[in-house]
Amino acid sequence: MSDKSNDQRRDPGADPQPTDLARRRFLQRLGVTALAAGATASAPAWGGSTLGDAFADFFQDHYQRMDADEVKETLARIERKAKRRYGVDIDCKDTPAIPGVVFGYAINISKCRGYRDCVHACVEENNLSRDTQYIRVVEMHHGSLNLHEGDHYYQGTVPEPGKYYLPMQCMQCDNPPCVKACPVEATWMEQDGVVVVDYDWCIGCRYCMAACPYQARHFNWGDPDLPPGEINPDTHFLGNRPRPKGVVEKCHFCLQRTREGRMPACQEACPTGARIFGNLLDPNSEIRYVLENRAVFRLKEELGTEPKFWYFRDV
Amino acid sequence: MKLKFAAISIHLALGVCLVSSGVQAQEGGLDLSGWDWSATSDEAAAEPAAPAEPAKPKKPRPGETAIPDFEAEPQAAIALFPDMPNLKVIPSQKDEEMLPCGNCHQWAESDPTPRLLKEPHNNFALQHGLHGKGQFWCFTCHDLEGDGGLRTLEGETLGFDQAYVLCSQCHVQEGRDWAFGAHGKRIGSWRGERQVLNCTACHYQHRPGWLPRKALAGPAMRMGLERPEHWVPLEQRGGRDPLPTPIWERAR
Amino acid sequence: MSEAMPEQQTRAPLPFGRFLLDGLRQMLRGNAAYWAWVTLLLALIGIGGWYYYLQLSQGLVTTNMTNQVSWGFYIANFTFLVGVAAAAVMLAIPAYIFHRDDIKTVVLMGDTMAISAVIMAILFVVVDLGRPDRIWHLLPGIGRFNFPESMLAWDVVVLNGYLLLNLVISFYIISCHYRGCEPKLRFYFPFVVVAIFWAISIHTVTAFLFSANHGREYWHHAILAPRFIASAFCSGPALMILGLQIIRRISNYPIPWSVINHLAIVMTVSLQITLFFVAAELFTEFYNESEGAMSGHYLFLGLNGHDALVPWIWSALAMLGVATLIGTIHPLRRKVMLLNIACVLTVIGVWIEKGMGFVIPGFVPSTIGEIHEYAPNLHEVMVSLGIWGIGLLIFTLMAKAAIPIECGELRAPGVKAGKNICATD
Repeated sequence: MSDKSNDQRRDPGADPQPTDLARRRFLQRLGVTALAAGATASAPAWGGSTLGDAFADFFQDHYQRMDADEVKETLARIERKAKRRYGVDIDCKDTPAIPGVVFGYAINISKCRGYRDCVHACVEENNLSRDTQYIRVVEMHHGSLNLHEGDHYYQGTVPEPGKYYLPMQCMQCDNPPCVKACPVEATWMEQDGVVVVDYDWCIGCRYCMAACPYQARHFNWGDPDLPPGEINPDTHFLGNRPRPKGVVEKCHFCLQRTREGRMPACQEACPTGARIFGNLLDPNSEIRYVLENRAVFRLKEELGTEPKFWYFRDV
Repeated sequence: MKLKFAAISIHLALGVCLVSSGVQAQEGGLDLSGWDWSATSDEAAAEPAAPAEPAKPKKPRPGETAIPDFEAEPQAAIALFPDMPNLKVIPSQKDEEMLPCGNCHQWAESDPTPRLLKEPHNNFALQHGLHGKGQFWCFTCHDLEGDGGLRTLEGETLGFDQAYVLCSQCHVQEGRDWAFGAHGKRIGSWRGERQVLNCTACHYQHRPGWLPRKALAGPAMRMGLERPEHWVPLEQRGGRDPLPTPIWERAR
Repeated sequence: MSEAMPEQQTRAPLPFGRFLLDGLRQMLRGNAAYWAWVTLLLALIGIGGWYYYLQLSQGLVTTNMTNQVSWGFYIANFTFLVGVAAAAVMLAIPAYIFHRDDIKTVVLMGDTMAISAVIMAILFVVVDLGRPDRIWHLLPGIGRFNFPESMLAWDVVVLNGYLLLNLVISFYIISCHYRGCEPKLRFYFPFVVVAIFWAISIHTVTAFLFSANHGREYWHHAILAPRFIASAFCSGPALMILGLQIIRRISNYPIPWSVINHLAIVMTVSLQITLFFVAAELFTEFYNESEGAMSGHYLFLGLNGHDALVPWIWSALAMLGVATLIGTIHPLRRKVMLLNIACVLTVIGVWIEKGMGFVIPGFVPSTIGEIHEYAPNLHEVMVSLGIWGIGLLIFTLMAKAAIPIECGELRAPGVKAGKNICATD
């Protein structure tokens, strides 16, 4: 699926690349100084973070290059930071992709009634800043599939006569333009087909946002507006852990849930059963049934992005 | 025809159990399972009282659906189709007020004649099966003999948790979709054994159509910025409709 | 000039410390007007720095950018400035390839302008970053550099490479002149040739940066790179004409009129080509309006009552039209006043047309049809002014040190102050 898998990271037999070694040595040297400095000043400094953590944050490596120990350390630091920042005990994990699984989504647009239950379930599940929504439901009018004519801000009672509803979120493209765009490889496709972001590696240039044809990427313009009382403590490194400001984030098919076999929050919240989520590689999955037995379409298929997000109708 | 149709829906909304065999509803398999009472025809829109008036539902919309009992052991589904995959159905919480019928009918005699239902049965407000040409009555689906459970058209008795068998007698396509995964709602995990909700968990069996509801809040404005005018719905800002008129309306 | 310079002087090593010191001394020496100008620039930089500090501490929330319009005023300025930097090639090509000696005398000023423009362009990208503290992630080796996949990675390479090339070439030439000898063509010519191609490439890559996004049809045109280059060759020479005239007025650096004339013709021809490209674009967009033409519609005509950019783009086109007319009609162009007006109109017109007028419509309507307008706020304008201040200050200081060397007034110790090299060259 992706040649940039992060699986070698866990493989102790894999030889590190020479540049890797040099880089690691460089970072270690910096890290030693940092820790030495941190030891002398372990009291909170620097915006509620200890000096040691601040240095470790600064020199944190790319997720795909960390070894198991580094990951463990980083996860612990993330939990510490959340505690300091929000006073909440979170559990941050980095469950790897399940082998033989590629996630896909299908939405029945004759069932979607525009309630936006999925939108808000997603916001709460994924610790989104309260000014951000990963899912956009567009109110379309009969006789048109022109997104420019859709209403993104509809309110009141739904469904409205003469309208149908088109929910959109990250399409988890199999040929993602955002991944290509990123100058620092801070975003990549995991083996289960989900495009993820390393929030600690992103430099915030927002080129991926320009590249995404589905407006699926969202930027943390300021510190996320996240009420501490509403934090979901079940988090994932590449998923819903609290994000810093100045980085891009996106829908990740609820990695913290789906990699443990659970349904994504939007599927769970949908009252109409319009959302069908599953493993594209499993011929007996519901999504495969839909794809093989229904006329389906994908948005902007002409761009060659190969979204793993389909729409279908009841017959 | 449409006018008559609307008239019936109002008629029904008043809590009448459909018995009038003189009424000829629309032919051609109009599927009511996804039918929206307010939105389909001009007449319905002009008569907003129709969906609002049915005997007061005890719960808010969408209807008095059966509440799934996630604590109970899911039951293996009866195979509706020879090639149907295995799946488990989440049972519903039992309605201990109305069932079994014998609770009350050990004293009160039951009257099986089709008629206008009175207390305490009038809140069922059957709005199902307009296309059944007046053939629908409580005992089309309920078992008069037993404890008020379900009964197929062929006389086989079923538990409430097997309602999907009953529904798919007529709604074959929905039944098939439900069995294979294109309809209905899967619960729990996306992998392994498939656990799904019964039809009645989403559709109130006596009025299976969904009713309109208020949408939750739409996209929020980026922090620090004012909400632009065009985010306010059209009717509130009183502007012109920015959408082009549909072709069929322009032609007029 | 070369016969005036004895051979052993060419071989004399560069007294590096002295060279820097002399340059610095020149920068710190000036009349009241000079100091007023420098103070003004420093004040701009200070104010910009303050607003950037606010942006750093609060995040880009201080700007008006949104998830819908995720690039704004900063990237608009960046695009414009890359063009200005690329336009230095319009002096380098005639000077070094066609051996126009008159142009050779000012080619260093072109390089200086390119250096300051590239620095400004890089700064505009840096202030646009959400996490400038992580900029080391771009370093190959310790960071991760998505080259050659990412066009932004390409941009980083070409911009820094161009900066380096220009620094090397101008340092070599100026240090030779400082020692009173003629730069050896065989040393710097390879660099010059590379720099000429590099200049075209920086703007091409910047155009590709936009046109690579097939989700944004307003940008996704093959004509973008040629259009960028054409408009760069309007704005760059226009700025040079204005700059060189100012230099001529305030210093004794003799700028031959032939150079100005050459630049004016380059500007005029490029303006004509630019307008042709714009017309071609307009025809393609509007003859059969596709959904992708919505952005163009928004820019030129407004969309559903949203028309913030409409007056801007039409004034830009009007300015470019007037400038083209002035440039095209010889008697008008030969009038200095009119030429200067044409230059000012060109700079502003191109700044609008390929800045805000190009970047913003790519985001309006958004890829999923949301219309969300954007206009820069005070923070963005102030930070941008600060960067312009930095660029102008760099240009001022570099020119201040280079001019006496170029004029033969400042020489390394032991080297006879030469005649005005510009005059003899």
